[in-house]
Amino acid sequence: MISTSFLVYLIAVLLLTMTMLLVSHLLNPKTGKRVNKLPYESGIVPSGTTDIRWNVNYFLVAISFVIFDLEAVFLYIWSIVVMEAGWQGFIITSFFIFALLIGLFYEVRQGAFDWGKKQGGIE
Amino acid sequence: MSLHYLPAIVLIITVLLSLTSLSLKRHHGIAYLICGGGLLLTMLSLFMQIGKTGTTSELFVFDAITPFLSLILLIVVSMIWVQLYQWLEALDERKEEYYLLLLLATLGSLIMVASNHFTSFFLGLELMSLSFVGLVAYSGREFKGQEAGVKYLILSAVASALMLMGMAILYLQYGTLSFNDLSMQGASGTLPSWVTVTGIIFILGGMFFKLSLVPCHLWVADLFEGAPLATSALLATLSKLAAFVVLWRIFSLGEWHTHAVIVDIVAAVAIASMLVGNFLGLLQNNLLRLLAYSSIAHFGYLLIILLLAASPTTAFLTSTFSTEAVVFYLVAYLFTLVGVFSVLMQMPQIKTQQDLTGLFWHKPTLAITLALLMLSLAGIPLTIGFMGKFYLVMTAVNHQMWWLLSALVIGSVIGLFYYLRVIMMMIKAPDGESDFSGLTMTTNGQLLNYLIIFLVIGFGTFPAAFSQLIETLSRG
Repeated sequence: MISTSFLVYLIAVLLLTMTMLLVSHLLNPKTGKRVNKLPYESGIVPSGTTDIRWNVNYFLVAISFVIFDLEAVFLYIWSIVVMEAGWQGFIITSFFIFALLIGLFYEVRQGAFDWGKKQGGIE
Repeated sequence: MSLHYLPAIVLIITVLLSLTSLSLKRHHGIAYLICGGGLLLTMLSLFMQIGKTGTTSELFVFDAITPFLSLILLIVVSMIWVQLYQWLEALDERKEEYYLLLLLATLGSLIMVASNHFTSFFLGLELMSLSFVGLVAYSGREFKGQEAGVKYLILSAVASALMLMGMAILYLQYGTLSFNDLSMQGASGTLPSWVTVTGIIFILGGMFFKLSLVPCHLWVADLFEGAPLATSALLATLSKLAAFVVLWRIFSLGEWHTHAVIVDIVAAVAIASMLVGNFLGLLQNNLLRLLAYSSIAHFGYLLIILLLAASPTTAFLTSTFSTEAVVFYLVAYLFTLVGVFSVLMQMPQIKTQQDLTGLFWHKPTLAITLALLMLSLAGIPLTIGFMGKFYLVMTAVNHQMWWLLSALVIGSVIGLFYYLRVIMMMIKAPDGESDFSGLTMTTNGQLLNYLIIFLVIGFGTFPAAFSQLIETLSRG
């Protein structure tokens, strides 16, 4: 069931990765400088921490993107069989888009797209 | 498009309607009424289907039992809905979205109860679980609620992943995802039978999580405690009932009891759940954690039903008796549990057993209702819980499952201790520390209490009418 070439390949993969890890571990200079722990960003000295709070609007836009992304995926599939699916398919697809439209309407009224306002949006 | 899809369509329209109305104008009363109207119409459309001939399609099955179970689900949700307005008014959050998520979770559970295909089952499950994440983490300022929400999100994702893996393995074996085809093919797969067993174990793992049975039970107490009270009530009733019905259907259709390993696993889980659940509840002081542990034990009792087909039967009972037993037990347990939660929702400041000290002398109606419900959970005669347990023991005796029966008896005796302790705390003389002055009784709450007493005692004393209905349904 398991062929010889597969075994050779497996062993080669293990050997290669282990050698790489081992060699890099042996060759690296063991100096405990403070700079070593900083993230490497093209030689630029980092400023500030990455542990900051992001505005929830980013999340809302990502969610909206996923929703309409999926809508597009479903509509592509429907477009292939639009003639065969007939009126029934048309009605179902319209209902689907209608439901998403209501969702979008709700999102707009919630202020999901009110960017840059000091007061407003989701509190 | 037959009449059978009407309840789901009504629910979908209600969801869209309430979404539209709350984007036009936020008003708590309107959202409450739309939700109630939708639930009422759904119940009516389900009521019309009871006793009608069923159909089976590729994705859904509508036999005699399905609309009945869906109706029970809707009744449970409506009993919670009755108290939601007042309860949400006290909550310092946006209120209208709660109804939206509630309706979506109900829709998901309806889909699950009627599912006949792994696709519809999984879609229903995800619709329900994702709505529940929102419901659990509803109060954004409460740390415990947020923690419970994250826990539920991660764990239910893991459970879904396990189930998907199981479904994929079963598909590999049989080349189909329909429950009906699983039953046709029996043990004749393309691959050796241990592949099937692996798939089944994956699916059972996910299901055990949803039902909070013993190896996967650790989340349930934290969740009941942390989540908003109404959400805990829904989680204990809606999600568990739907998951159990699906598990029961797959188990009997797929003839999983033909695999000895599976039977052993389910039996071990059942016994462990009965004992561990009751032992954990034994000295528990927090009422919600106590309910969580008692629900572990109760679903342990119910697992006995799954194993019936695997053991020999002395045929003094009809073949549909196990169906009757499971339906009766589920209904009895759900009504009791929703009763307990609605009593707790009427006194939101009471969290532990000490807080209950002397409740009887201040609010006798509440105390009597809670006492009766505790007796029903323990399975004392003249309550509906006793009849449920009676059915269960009778089927188990009929199938000669002595190990499981002895675990059930031991578990029930242990359970009796903590159920009775709650009652004892309530009839103690007031110590002056407990303050019930904040408790205001509403007409809604009072009516609901009387309804609960009527259901629990009425069906417990005269179970014949109810059991005959279930009998005709399960034969039909």
